[in-house]
Amino acid sequence: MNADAALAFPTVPAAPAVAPRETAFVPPPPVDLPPGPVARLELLLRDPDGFLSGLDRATASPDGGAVIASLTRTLLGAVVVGAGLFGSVIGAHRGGLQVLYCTVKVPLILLITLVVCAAPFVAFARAARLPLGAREVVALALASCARFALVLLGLAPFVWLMEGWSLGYHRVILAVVGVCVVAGTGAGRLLFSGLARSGPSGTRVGLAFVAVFALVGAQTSWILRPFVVRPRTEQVPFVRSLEGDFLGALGTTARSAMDPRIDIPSAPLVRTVRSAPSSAEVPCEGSSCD
Amino acid sequence: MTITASLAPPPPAQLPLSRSLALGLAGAVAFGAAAGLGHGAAAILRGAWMSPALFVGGALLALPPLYLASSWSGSRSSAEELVSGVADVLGRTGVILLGLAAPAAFFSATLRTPSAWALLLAAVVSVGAAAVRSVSVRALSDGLAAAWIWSAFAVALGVRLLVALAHHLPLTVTR
Repeated sequence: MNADAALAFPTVPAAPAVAPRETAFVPPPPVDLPPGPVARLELLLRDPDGFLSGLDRATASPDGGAVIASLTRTLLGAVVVGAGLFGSVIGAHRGGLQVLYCTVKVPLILLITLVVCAAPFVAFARAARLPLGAREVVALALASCARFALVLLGLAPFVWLMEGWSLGYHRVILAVVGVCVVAGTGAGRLLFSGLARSGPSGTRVGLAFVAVFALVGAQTSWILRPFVVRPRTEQVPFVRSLEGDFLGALGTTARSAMDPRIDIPSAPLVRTVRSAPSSAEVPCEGSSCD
Repeated sequence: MTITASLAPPPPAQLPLSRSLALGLAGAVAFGAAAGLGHGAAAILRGAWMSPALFVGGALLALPPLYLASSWSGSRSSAEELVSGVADVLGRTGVILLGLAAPAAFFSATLRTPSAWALLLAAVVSVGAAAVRSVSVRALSDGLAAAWIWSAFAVALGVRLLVALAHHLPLTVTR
């Protein structure tokens, strides 16, 4: 065989004689998900539309299952690490064992909520006739959770700063709730973009997603409390018993933050304080303990 | 067209009448049973019959006035088309209720305050309102007044059913 012939460039196929009919609209070039986990998370944070485009391509490609599985591991890792580190900052308000407890419990909030909400998410998408399968819906919800956790991680120093200023129990809680609202906005941006690409009813489905996720997330965080522990609490349990609910506690906290004289625990508390001169133990209740 | 729309699976087509009804019934039973899960077997059973009574019963009771409203508003939909449309909406409502069964079970097991009542009521009212709106948009698109009148009637019917079933509600607050 002639060496020149063996190394010849492949011939360029001739241009079609007839131009395609629709040449006016050129869709944006599709983006593949970058190979590394760090690059994928960076794309998730910086360019949600690019991430969604990559997710679409991964879902539709022949080896989509492997890509989605690898992406799922990355996103779960982001949730565990991001929310875990944020939890450790919350636990640092009390210190000691509470740092470890919160490092475990904050990622659990997101993961339990995601598990409970997966079925309603898929049901909403199917009822609204969105062209999304269960795998796409769950991947989108997981990606939103990962973005939420990454924003939490980014804002953890703010919470640490608030704790350092000794603003008190209730104001630290409000700072944590505020940070969660900011992170939720970032996660919602990804969720709504992903659903809006699927059809006109995507926004309504997104609102239903957010409502259910917020309620389940609030209840999960409530049953896994305490996170920011009251200063006077002597022994901190991993979780408290089932009592009260999140909305009632948030209202009490908001009132207490406005007026420090108000401090109503969710359940009657009987504690002891030492009076200065006699060291005698006197039972006290509610705000009189402070 | 976006990549998602072109490559993702096509939206599911309208189900046959019997399957829509079965789906609506199954979803309502699952949701009701899940809402009573944290309060014992009796509460599960109560929820399992009351939820279909509310959703499927409400759909059946609202059907005749829907036909009247449709005919008076000049719509050319036949009775069969109306029934088919309502069954389709009922089936989709059943899918939503089926999905909401997991959170309902979660809240039933973990939420032990009066807020549980409000949450259950809000969920039922939201799903019911969405179903009423969906039927109204679908069947009464020709007459705005008829759509409003029928929607108001359907909401009143739902409230009446809720009140009638209220003393059987499965969610009891245990402290």
